[in-house]
Amino acid sequence: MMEKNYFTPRTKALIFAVSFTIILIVGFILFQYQIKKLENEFEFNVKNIIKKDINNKTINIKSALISLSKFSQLSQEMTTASFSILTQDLLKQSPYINNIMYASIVSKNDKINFETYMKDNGYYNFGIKSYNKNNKNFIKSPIQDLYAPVVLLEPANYEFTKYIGYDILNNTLLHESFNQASKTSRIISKNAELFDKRDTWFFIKATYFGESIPSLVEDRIQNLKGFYIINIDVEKMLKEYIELYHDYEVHIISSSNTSSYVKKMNNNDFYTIESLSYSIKLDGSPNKHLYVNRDIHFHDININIILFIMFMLVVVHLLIVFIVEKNKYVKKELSYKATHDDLTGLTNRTYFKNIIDEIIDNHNINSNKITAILFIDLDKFKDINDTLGHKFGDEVLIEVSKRFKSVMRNNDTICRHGGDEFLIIIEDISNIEDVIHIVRKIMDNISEPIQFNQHKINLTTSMGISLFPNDGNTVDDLLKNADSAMYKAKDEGRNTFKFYTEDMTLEIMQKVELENNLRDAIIDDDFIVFYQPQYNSNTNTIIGMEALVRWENKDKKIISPAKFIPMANETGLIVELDRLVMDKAIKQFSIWKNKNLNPGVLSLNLSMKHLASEDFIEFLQNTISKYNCTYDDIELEVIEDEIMEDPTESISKLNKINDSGIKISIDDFGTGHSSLSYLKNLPIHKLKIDRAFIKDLPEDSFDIAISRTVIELAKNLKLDVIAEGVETIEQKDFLLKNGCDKVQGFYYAKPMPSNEMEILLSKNKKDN
Amino acid sequence: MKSLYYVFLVILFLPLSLFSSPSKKCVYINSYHIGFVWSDTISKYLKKELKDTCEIIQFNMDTKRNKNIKFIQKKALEAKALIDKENPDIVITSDDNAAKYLIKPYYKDSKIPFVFNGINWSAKEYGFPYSNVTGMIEVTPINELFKIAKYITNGKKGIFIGDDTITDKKDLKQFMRFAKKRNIHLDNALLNTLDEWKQTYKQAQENYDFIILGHNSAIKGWDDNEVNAFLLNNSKKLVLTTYSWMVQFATIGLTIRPEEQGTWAGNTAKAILNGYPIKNIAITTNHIWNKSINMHLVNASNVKIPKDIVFNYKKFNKK
Repeated sequence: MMEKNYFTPRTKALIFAVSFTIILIVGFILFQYQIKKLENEFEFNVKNIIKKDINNKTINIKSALISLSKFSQLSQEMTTASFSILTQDLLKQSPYINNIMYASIVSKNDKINFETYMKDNGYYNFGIKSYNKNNKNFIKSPIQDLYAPVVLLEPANYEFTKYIGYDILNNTLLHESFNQASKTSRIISKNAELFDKRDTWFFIKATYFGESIPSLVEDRIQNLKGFYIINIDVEKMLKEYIELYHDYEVHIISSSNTSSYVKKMNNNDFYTIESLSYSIKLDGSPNKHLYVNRDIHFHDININIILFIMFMLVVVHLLIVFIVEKNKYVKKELSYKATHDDLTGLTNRTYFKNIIDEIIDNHNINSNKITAILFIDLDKFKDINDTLGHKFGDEVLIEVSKRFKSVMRNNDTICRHGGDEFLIIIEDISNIEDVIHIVRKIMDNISEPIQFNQHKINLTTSMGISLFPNDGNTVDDLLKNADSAMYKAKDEGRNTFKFYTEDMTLEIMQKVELENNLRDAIIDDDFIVFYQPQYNSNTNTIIGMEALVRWENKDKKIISPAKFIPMANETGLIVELDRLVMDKAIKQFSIWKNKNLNPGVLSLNLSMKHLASEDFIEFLQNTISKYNCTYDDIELEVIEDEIMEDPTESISKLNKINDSGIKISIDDFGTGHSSLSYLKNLPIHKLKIDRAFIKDLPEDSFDIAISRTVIELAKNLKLDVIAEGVETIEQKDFLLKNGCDKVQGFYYAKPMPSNEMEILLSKNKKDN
Repeated sequence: MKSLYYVFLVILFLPLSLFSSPSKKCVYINSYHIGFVWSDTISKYLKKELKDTCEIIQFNMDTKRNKNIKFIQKKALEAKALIDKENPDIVITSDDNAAKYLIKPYYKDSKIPFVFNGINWSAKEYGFPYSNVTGMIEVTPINELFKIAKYITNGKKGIFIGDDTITDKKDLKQFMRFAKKRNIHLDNALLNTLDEWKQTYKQAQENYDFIILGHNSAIKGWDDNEVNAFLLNNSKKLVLTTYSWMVQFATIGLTIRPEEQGTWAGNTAKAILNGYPIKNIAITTNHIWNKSINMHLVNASNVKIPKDIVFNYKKFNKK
């Protein structure tokens, strides 16, 4: 079954990486956005709220001063009551106004009369006074040309009553401003501390006798009546902005510079990101600047919004990923269900067909590779279902599936075709024996007892095999053929397999049987060595013999080497077989040698596969020594074709044998594809002309040409030459006449067992 | 267990008892009596300002109705006894008798701060300011009153009709002073009974250009309704006053406001209680007044009032 896990570790890592990246990017953007927002907010608040508001306030103050001044000039009368009424609304609406005053101009000559007038009006202890900064008290005003004592004052509360009579004109800080105000008739503003009051800002407007303001400066000075003064508490005025924008530092400063806005990164304080400061010239107030500073700290950044947005983005991201992945998973699951069997988890018939289609589509016509389709049916499975129940049957099917999987390679396709039928595809097979090998493994594996709930059963399978491309070019054909092969296997009594092609089945069965028998024969030492003598046709004497292996089966029947040597080569058993033969032959040869039967040279066939094993030369040397033979007694015959499979490698290996003193001859010469250049380099001393070129001598012109050429070649290369398969006197004579006096063949003797060979050797010795 | 319960209750209610009433104590000495509109209004606004600041203990000297010096001195001693007993954080007084008979003889430069109000025109005779005394001098807009009288009647002969009290005597002195400065001939009649008052008023219709009304509180037999009815039938000349409660009997009123003095005295006392140094509070004067016109009398008397005054002055409506 498919495991329910939407996210692979790779996907999870990717999601984490993307989420983390989103968090970083979005966090950075939002951070910058908030700083920008705070900057914009600061700029807006300073320019559009604070500055405008302060300007409005100063405009109101100036308007009030103008109104008071005008009223005073027009009515020529300003009583305490009318002053109170005129100012009370402004005072109510402007809590930052400390007070509004009127200071009446009094000349030195009028001082006494003026003081008397004030005393008559209730200020019984009135006197024009000045302020002693050191003692912080009021003292009688020193004599001045002009005085401007405060006579009207609002609000007239306990804090300000002491101002009545104070000669404000001669206050050193404000004197120049009063002069300017009187001369210019404009409103003059000035920052000054008055008595114990903190930072205060004075707005001064002169008022004159007569209904209009005199146009000449001299007239203004002469007709000066008094001053209306509004005194504001700067700190109080700015307090509302500080309360409204508690992070702002707001001041009104005196500066002759132009307005400026400075943004400065703060490197000193870790918690401060940047400092913003505005210095804006206030409208209509020369040299007065509104200075606002704001430090942006980390705690000003709304982390909650950033975190919330980041969180939402990550959630959305995860949701999208989840939906996409879930869709993928659902599709994958649907696809899985469509192509897999629910019970066993194996692929199903649909999947099987797709794979076969793919194999057919991708098949390369030049390829030697084949694909096998195994159609497997469990024998008598119906009986299991009927007797032990379907549940048990299902368990059996699951177990069988597991066993298939354990036997097969990962890339092999195993399908449940339905019921108790299974299909297996084995791809990229080079030879049919591999299929047999796998089939046997499957059958062996399934035949192991299966046990569930105290029930033990033995299962067997019947298997049909079709091969692609041999047995069909469509899925249906291949399946149908494998199916019919499976029925044949059933018909033959079950627990077996059948190829769709009967001959192949037979051939394979024989091969398999042969291989098994061969293995058994090696173990049981069922091989015997025959010897075929080699003659000098000039003297008709034996000069040596070739050892030839014969297999005597259990029925004492001799099996031809042509039948089992190729199998021995294919399976690699040839190495073992050759060693067995070599040991027997050398042993026998040494016996004959010891009997002084003059056996000549013993020719042993050598498969090139021997040379793959490192210890071959050592084995041969040991065997020769073991039986007291010499290296001159032995000659190894190597088949030309085997040498030419990889000439360079062969030369190297044969050189090692030659170096040990053992002679080498080329067997079946002429049938292979020897290159003269390689031949020159081969460490050989003899060529053996293949029987195929001897057979039709001396009639066949082609064989004549070949045999003559080989003999000539051997002479030129200073090599010995021998002909095999010599069966007639004509052949012997032809060869002798053309320079080949060494022959082997039925004309002289067939291969014979050792006892017969010994008789022949004795006879040969006696004759000579 | 029971004792624990009481301890718990004490702990529970102790904070309440501490914060339930102001811990500071104020004594208010009223020169007059309860029921006298002027001093009642001062008292009302004074208490309004101080209600959350101190506990106010009021003492009424009742010297409007009892003018005997011995009586006044006796009341002053009673007031002193009260002050000595209560040992208040501040004493507020209204009108002259409290200043003259209490502050001046007993509390000059004492540790107890005093805030006065309602002293007419000058506190020079009491030697104020002392180091512990400040306050608001009561001035009436006499100058303004004469300006208007002249503006409406163009006459230069007037009469001041009041009661025979120290306040009116002081007021009269001021009226005389301002009249002299303005070259106005001002006679006076300080009376004791309503009949005298009616008779004097009637005669004034024939002999003067305008009449100025002083106090009525010491006039025996005074009845507002009776006087109103009398005035409607016997008024031909412009009648002016500077007292709010007399506006119903006058054509034009330029009236000072007792609430101004009560509020000022209350605020100042509060500042002193909160630590503001009394030496920094200069003696001041009241400075606002109302302008009103009694159209009933205008219509009854056929006095020609300029339109700017009719339009701009507040119309008196008898409640």
